[in-house]
Amino acid sequence: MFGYVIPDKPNMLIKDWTAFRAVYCGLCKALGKTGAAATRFLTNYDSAFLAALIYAVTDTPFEAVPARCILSVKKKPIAKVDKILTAVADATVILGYFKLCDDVEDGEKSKAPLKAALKRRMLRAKKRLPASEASVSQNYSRLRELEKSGGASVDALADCFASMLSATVKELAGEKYGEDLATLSYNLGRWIYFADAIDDVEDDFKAGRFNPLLTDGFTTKAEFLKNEAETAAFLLKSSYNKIVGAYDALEITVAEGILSNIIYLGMQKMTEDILGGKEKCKMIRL
Amino acid sequence: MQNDPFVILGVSESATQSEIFDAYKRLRDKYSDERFLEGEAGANAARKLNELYDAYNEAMDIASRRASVAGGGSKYYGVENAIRQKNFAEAQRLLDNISSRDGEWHYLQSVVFYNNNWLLESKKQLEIAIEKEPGNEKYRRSLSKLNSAINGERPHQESWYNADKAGGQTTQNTYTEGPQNRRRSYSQYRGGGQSDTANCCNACSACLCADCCCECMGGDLITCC
Repeated sequence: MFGYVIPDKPNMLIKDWTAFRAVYCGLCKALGKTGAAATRFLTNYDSAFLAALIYAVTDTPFEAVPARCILSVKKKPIAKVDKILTAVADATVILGYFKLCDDVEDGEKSKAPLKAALKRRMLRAKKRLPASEASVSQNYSRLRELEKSGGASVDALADCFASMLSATVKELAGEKYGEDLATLSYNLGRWIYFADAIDDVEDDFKAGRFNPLLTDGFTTKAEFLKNEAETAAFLLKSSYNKIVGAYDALEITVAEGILSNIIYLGMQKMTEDILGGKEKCKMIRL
Repeated sequence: MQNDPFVILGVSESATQSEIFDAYKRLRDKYSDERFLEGEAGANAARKLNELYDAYNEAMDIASRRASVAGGGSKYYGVENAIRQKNFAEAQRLLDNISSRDGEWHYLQSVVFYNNNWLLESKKQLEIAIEKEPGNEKYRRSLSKLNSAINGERPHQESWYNADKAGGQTTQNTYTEGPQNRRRSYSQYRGGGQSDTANCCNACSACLCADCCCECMGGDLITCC
């Protein structure tokens, strides 16, 4: 995952921030518990959002207990590692592993050892979430083929990533997976895919890597955003608005503050930042 | 595109144009009156009214097309049926089998793409449809609807921005403030015991504050402290 789905911290209530941190830290603990310590580095904001979403749709409240983290001496409320966090940790490992595979095939050889280290943990996750693993691995290879053959539409490319995310959410949410959640997860995948594509357009152009939005007539990101402003805005905003529409239709009581903040404010802000040409790594983070 | 217009109007799918018009008129009158009610009910009626208008136009389109091809059956009848039953894979298959592609074909393809969340393709198809039949009102309406959905005319965010610009002061309702016409209610956030206790606290702290002020000036509002 990529870390685009983040809360808008300045406008977040402290209780929501505490709850979000509890889920985030709980996910990290879950990753540490179910695998080697190194897998903790897979913890990311997107997955924390996913965990909050699954708590919300399955209507399971999470229990935050004061616990210690290796990064800090003080005890903080951290969500207890339960079934949902373990499942989301598995999903994170699966998504992270195949992302690494994709990167290695793209030529980033430095990531190969990391991928090898994750392999065993991924196989364990596969046993618990077989459908997600199947969908993620299939869709990554489908994406690769479409990239190679060229001429595929942007929507078709995004479909690969969106499908794998909605398949994962489907398995995590179980019987609570309905039409609204399908729309939400599918468009979340689309949104992340486009956000990443727009964000990386200049680097990909320079490195000669594939990018769905690459067209002729620009060399820098600023030029791209000027030339293709309409398309870029359409892609991001249309997916974003579908997410909001689907979220509005969902019945949510657990973790409502976290989700509302991320969806209404955080993602809105991120959409504007990306369209405004801000680099993700240069943005002020949490 | 998301809701069946016939369901919104409360008529059967085989209703004639005059039946549709009667149902529309009845519902319109009802909501027009309710529109002026206070609070949520009024906002709800206003939204329903918009929905109703779209549904009426769409239902009339379908009915008039059915009337014009009565007996013979349009070549897109199967596709439209599949779309209404939300069987988009079948609709796509039927569309792929049709080789002569006019404006209507591109329009239906756009509808299928829209429901599969392929929005950019959907927009492209709609633009082709308009190019082929520039006079068609339905296509234009759909495009403007698609565009407005994409630009997200969602006032709740406007209000958040304005509040932010006004001075960066955001209150407890940061995420929920806004007009009543939100599709989702935030009862758990706004209503219930929570806000009551908050109000109660506000009242107490206001009294204490007033007392402090009085004491500064030499008086006393609450004698015991």
